[in-house]
Amino acid sequence: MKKFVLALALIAAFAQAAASPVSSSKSANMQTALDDLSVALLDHGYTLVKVQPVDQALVKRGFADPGIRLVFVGKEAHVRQALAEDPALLNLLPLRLTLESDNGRVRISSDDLAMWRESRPTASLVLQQWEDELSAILSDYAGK
Amino acid sequence: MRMLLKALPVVLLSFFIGLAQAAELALLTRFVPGRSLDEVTATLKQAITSHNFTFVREQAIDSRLVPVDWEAKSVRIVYFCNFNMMDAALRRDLRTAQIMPCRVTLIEGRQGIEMVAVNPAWVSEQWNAPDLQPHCLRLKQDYLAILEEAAL
Repeated sequence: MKKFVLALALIAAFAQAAASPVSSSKSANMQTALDDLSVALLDHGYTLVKVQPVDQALVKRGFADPGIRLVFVGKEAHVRQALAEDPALLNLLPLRLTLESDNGRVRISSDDLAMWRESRPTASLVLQQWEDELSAILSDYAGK
Repeated sequence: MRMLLKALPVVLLSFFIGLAQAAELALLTRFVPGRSLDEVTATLKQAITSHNFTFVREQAIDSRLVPVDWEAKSVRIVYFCNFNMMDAALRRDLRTAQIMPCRVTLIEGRQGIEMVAVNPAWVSEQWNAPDLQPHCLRLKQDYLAILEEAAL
C-alpha cells in the first residue's frame, strides 16, 4: 500500500515538474533585461517580434503596476513547422515570454509548452525543439 | 482487499481529476464560409468592441519574421483585451499572463475562414488551478460570444 501511494505521489510530482514552463531569473531592471534578452535572442537566430508593455498599459489606465511585460519572439521556420506538423500550433506563435520584475530581479518565463506536448503528441518533437531553444535563450539571458 | 479499499479514494480522486481535465477542449473554433479574411477580420473587430474588449492589434502570423512583402496572407492574428479583467487576473495569478492579451487566429482556406482561440478554461485545467477556473470559464464564454458574433 505504501509503495502504491509513493508511486502515485512520484507520478504526480513528475507530472508537475514536466508541466513547469522554462524560466530564468537574474538581477536586472526591465530595460536591461529586455536588452540582454534581445542579444540572447539574436544569438539563437530568433527575432523579437513585439514587446507588450502590460505594466505601462495598466498604469496609464490607473491600475497598479503588475511588473509584467510580454515579449513575442520567433523564427520564420516555426510557422513552416506548425503548418507541416499541426496547424493548431499556429496559436502558439509567435512564442510568448513573460518578464516579471520583482525586488530588483527580472524573471523571464515561457508559456507552458509541456501541456501542449501532452495534448498534441504528434507535434511533441516540434514543441520539444521550441522549448529547448527557449531554454537555451533563457540560460544565455541569465549568464549575460 | 483491505489494501484495495484503502487505495480506492486515491484511485477515485485520480479518476475524477482526469475526467475534469478532459472536460475542456484546448481550442475554440468557428468556421465562416464564403467570406474573405478582411471581411471576417472586420466583423471580428466589431464583435470585440461590442463585448467590451479593446482591439489591440492585428498582424500576419510571420510579421517581422520575414520582409513585409513575404508575409503570409492567409493566417492573421487579432489581439484584444479588457484592462479591468487583465488587472484582476494578474492580481489573482501571474500565470494568467500566458493567456494575455486575448487572441484569435484567423486561417483562410478554400471554403472560408477558420477562427481559432486557445480555450482559457482548458489552460486553467492544465494548471490545476480551481480558483482560476470560474474566471477562465467566463472568459471562455466571452470568446465564444465574440466568435459567434463575428461569424454572423
